[in-house]
Amino acid sequence: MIEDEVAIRRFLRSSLDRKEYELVEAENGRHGLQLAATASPAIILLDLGLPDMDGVEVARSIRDWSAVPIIVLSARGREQDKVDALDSGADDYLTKPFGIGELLARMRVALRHAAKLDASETVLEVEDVRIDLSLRQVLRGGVEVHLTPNEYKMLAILARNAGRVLTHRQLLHEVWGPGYESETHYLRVYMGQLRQKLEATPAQPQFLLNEPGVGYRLKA
Amino acid sequence: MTGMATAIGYLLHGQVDPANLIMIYLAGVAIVASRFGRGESVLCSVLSVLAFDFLFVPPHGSLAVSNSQYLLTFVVMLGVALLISDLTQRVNERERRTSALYTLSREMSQSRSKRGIAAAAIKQIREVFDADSAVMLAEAGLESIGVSRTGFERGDKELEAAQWSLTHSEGAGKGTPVHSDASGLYLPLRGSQGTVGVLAVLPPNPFSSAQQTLLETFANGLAMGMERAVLAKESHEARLDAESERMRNALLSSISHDLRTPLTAIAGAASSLQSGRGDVKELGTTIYEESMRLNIQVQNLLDMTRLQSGEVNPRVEWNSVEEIVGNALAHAKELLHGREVHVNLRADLPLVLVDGQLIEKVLLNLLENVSTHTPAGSPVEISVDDMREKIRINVADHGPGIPKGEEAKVFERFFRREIKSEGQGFGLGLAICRVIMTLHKGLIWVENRPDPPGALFHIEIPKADKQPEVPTG
Repeated sequence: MIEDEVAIRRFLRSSLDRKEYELVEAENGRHGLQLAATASPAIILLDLGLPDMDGVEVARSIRDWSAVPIIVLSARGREQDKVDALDSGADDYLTKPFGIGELLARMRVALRHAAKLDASETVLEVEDVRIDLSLRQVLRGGVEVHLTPNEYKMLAILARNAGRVLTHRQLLHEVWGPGYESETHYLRVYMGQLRQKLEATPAQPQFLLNEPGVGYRLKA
Repeated sequence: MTGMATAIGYLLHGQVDPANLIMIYLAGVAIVASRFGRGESVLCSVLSVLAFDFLFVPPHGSLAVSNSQYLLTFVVMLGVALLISDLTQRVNERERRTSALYTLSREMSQSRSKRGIAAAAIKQIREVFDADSAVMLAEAGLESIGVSRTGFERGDKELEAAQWSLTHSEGAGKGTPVHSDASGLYLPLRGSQGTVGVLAVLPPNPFSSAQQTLLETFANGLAMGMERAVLAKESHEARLDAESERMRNALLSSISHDLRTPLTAIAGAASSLQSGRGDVKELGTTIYEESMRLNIQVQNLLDMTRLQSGEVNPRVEWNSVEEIVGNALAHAKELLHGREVHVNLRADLPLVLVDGQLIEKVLLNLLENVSTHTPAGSPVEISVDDMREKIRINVADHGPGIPKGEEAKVFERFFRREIKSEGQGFGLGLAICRVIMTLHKGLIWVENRPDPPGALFHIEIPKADKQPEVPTG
């Protein structure tokens, strides 16, 4: 955990210990980078507002030589920082203040994703929707749903990263390719179409979630 | 002086030619003329000629002139006396004027306010011209910002002359061809950016042209002084603005940090307690939910300050109304606990050009308002109308509605309904909504609907001229 606030470190220490995690603490970016190399953590929680370094810079430095999952913590209203951190290789983010349940869920997703990078699961079931990546098939309530090629591409990327946030930029790059990274309105339209086809009440989505100002997430 | 010249002449008498004795008298006349006025020098010339004539010109002891050439001496001496006294007077006049202008500029430069500068000018005019005066500024509707002690008449005739002087940037009133029936003389205060006002002077008797020129010079100096005061004030205000801006930003970031850090620790620790049992779980839940509520209030306070200071530049991009409504509902989940939420919107709504997070904030605050002002468990309805030039989002509740006459007031800062009830926050939520809608050139208003009774909030977002292109496939 790289975080300069004692109170937050203390709350995490007692909350995480009970869940059988071992917490290694760094109070600034420099110390954090050092510990990331020497303590070989399974996952890194990184506060973006550090006293000595830009948190985004810390994430980028770690990603240069390690694939360890990184979850960034930041205040509301700093969406651009979060996007920068995610585009620099962070795996997920959490907005302060947050409940421990949310944090644990994010950590589980990030750890699972890191573990199955090679042997990825091919079938995902959420609500009444079943996404089969090997058959390129999407069923809703047992009935096949027809998706356009780009709709399917977008859903497949979200499914492969189920539970993780993907930034607008990452999604656009994956679906439409380089040069389209700022065409956010493509996502608005295609996500609307996907929700229309897969969600019961598109205005209150249960799994095709929006992360305002950051990106999208498929609930795991 | 004539006596002295006579004495010297008497001593030199006999050794010097009488023609040269004249020089001594001439020197005397020159000295008198340079020190005193015209009258004194003429008197001195006459006395000198008489003394010279009486004592040194034959026949001695009489005023009879045997040689008519001494008449020429007399004329020359008189001419020299007049010339010198006139020149001296002119030099003196110029010196007086220079010193008056110098005093004026010195006194004006010591004053930082327009009022102070006007007072300095009025004082100088009183001293130099022995006249009452007033300084009238255009920005104050020709109201006098400084008047000499004895006051100043403000009849129609006077104001007309002053107005004429201001609009034509020329002198008017007494002693000028225009509005000459006015009792005051009005001179324009010409600054580099145009005429800033009028200097009004009440001459005790008509001014000479030299005095009028001096007055005009005064007026020009006064105009420059006024301009300088305005510039100084503006730069002072700009400095103050920058200073308060810095302080506000420092305060904001420290509020943001100093309040949120403990809140994060409190909410986080409380959320851990929620996994406990019985009372611990209950208490943990209460602490968690209330600290989250407190967080919303802190956020509102920060948002309001930022929005009011014009610090927030909306990040306008293509957004889906459906998504914005969905985000607001997701964020308000805990606030709307146990309420039925009905959403009615069409699937083919056009995209809108807005800052999605700000519009979401508007909806979230409206929903928060519903949660604090309507009975627990009562439903809330959200609908969206696709109109010709705008998108209208409606939020309807089943509460007591807005008291008559307060429909506009609820959007004012720190306005709170039913002050006695608790858990309402600072009364900033709806004010923030209005600021955000104004930023989007949109509208927000509320009305009471009769059936089923309740408050009905509307927000309107202007529609874009055309939709962005999105490839199909």
